[in-house]
Amino acid sequence: MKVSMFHLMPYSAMPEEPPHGPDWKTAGIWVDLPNSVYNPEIGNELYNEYLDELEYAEQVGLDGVCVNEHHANMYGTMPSPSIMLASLARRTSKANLIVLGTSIALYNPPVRVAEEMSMIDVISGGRVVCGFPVGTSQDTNWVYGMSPSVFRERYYEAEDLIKKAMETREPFHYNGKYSKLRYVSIWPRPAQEPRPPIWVPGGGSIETWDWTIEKDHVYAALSYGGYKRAQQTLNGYWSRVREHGADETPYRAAYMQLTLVSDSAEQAKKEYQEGVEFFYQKLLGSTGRYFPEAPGYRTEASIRAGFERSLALAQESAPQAGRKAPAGAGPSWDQLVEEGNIVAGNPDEVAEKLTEIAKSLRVGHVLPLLQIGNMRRETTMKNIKMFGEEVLPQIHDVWDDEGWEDRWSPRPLAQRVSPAPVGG
Amino acid sequence: MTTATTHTERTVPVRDGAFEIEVREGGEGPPLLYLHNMMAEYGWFPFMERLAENYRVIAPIFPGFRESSGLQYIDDPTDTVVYHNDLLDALGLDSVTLMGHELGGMFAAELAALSPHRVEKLVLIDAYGLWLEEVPCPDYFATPRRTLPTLMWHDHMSEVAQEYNPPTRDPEISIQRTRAQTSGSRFLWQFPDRGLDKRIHRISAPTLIVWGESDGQIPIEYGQAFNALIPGSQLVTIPEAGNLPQIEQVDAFMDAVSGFLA
Repeated sequence: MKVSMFHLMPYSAMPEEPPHGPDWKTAGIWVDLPNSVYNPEIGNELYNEYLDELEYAEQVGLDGVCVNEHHANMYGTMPSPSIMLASLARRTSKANLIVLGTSIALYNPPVRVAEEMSMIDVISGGRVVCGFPVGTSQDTNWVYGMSPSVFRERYYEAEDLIKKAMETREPFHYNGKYSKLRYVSIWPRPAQEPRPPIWVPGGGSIETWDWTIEKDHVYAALSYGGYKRAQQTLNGYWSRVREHGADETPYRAAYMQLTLVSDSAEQAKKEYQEGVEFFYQKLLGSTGRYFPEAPGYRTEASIRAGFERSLALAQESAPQAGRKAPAGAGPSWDQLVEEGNIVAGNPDEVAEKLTEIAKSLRVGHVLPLLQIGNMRRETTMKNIKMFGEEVLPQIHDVWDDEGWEDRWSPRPLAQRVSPAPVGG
Repeated sequence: MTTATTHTERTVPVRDGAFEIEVREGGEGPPLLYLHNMMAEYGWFPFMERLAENYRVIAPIFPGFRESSGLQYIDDPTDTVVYHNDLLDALGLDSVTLMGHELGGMFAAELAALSPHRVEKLVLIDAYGLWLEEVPCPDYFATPRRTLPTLMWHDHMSEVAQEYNPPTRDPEISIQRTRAQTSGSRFLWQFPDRGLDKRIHRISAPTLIVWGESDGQIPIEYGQAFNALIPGSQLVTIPEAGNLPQIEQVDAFMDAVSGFLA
């Protein structure tokens, strides 16, 4: 199994009172969040701290590092994931550099994404994984102003063009609906031949499952909902894989998991509870309240499936209704453990749980989120260290007995250089 | 209530079936084409009934709304004009009295500007299509669905308002409403401005602009802007009406249009 550290790079210095509304529930933390809230001095610390953390993840043996893209948002401060990846390319030497991902529908012309990915791929000697999400509704529809009635079409066209631009060795023309380019011939071309692997972060839409399988990309389930809810998503995905007659290698699926390791479950709670609750209660607290998912962000087929699912859930889970958190609070550490949002404990417990999850979801790539909420350097570094040194060795071989080939990890150049010492 | 005319519902193939268009129709007389709003309301409303006393009222459902198909052939205002030309051909109509409300008002203005020979008279009711930097109209899509009625109506608690677009638990209706919002977003997302101000001066049909004085969705200043930009147009404002004066104040609405259409 491949294990890569995921980072959201949250802005954790959230003031108690929002300057733009009565409270954070209604004021919103996404789309129309005033940047007067942002303190660049704290930002300077955070960005550097977060990059240090990802670099350290390589040092303790993780296979890769993952960055992602959000806009006008407090829980994810990477509007340009390429910039983060470029920085990591210079200060790491063997880790896979995974973008999960670049919202390709938003870039015009999309060949810009092909160029940037190729640049980082060449700088790093072929360590890039491209991630091409549809993007959240908040980011794509609201912040980047893309009408929900066209952005899916733009997404499909962008993927087609970017892939072709990376794979094709002669200039070609592309007369698309949204991109009209007489001359496409990206420089540099990627180091990997014919191109870096492509992963597609997705929610639970059937279209995305089918499309990912047809394109032979990795399906990456990224949510903060935890492994219990992800089970339904991955079950749906694997049933589509079987229907398509594709092979069932676990490496075609990836899964992100909030993970917290300490000397014991009690100690983990003591050390990480604040960060985790800050993330769920504060940073995610008002997501989508003020700026809802745009109409049409989800396809009709997915809406229909959603109605059926929620109907089934309503019938199944009526007795659980009382377990909801009190209004205004948000889930507590204990609830999050119970519901499977987070995996926390001593190294053996975490390893056992992650093994069980990987097997149950059938995922070949596990992406632990190891910095959460307002966790700062010392706390996060401890989590990374214990994860790398004591959990990772126990889970690295999870899929070895099945003998599948991983077709979706980078294939770096055999000979590649590292940065020389400054002035050297 | 006036004497009930009968109205019929049928599906009209347009451009060799590229579009399959739901059409409601009632009354006899010169043809009057009514273009609907974002809600794609499907009732046969009292104002239609009243118009049908003197006109053949034809109310097509735009592609991508309800069950009308073919939105994939419409990307921009030019495409809407070509489509409406094709629709009139399919209906066998050379020219019509054209009435458009809100989103439908935007389409009507585009058609009247670019195909003036097909429009004898134009009535715009609380129409989209312009953007006034000094009076930004609310973001239709970001307005919480609970709040929207307070913008749309003078009195959103009135019986007509309550009956107009009632809440539903029916998934199919809910999906249909989402589809309407999605399709409309192609023309209204973030700004209801797709360049009509560059073409609006080409409108040559006699034009009446009707506006609800309490319209919080598209404020009255937009009615004044339409009136200033369309050569020779006249503006009538309807008291105690929001975005839907034809629904909320039928008598006043009919008074305003009857003289103009006669």
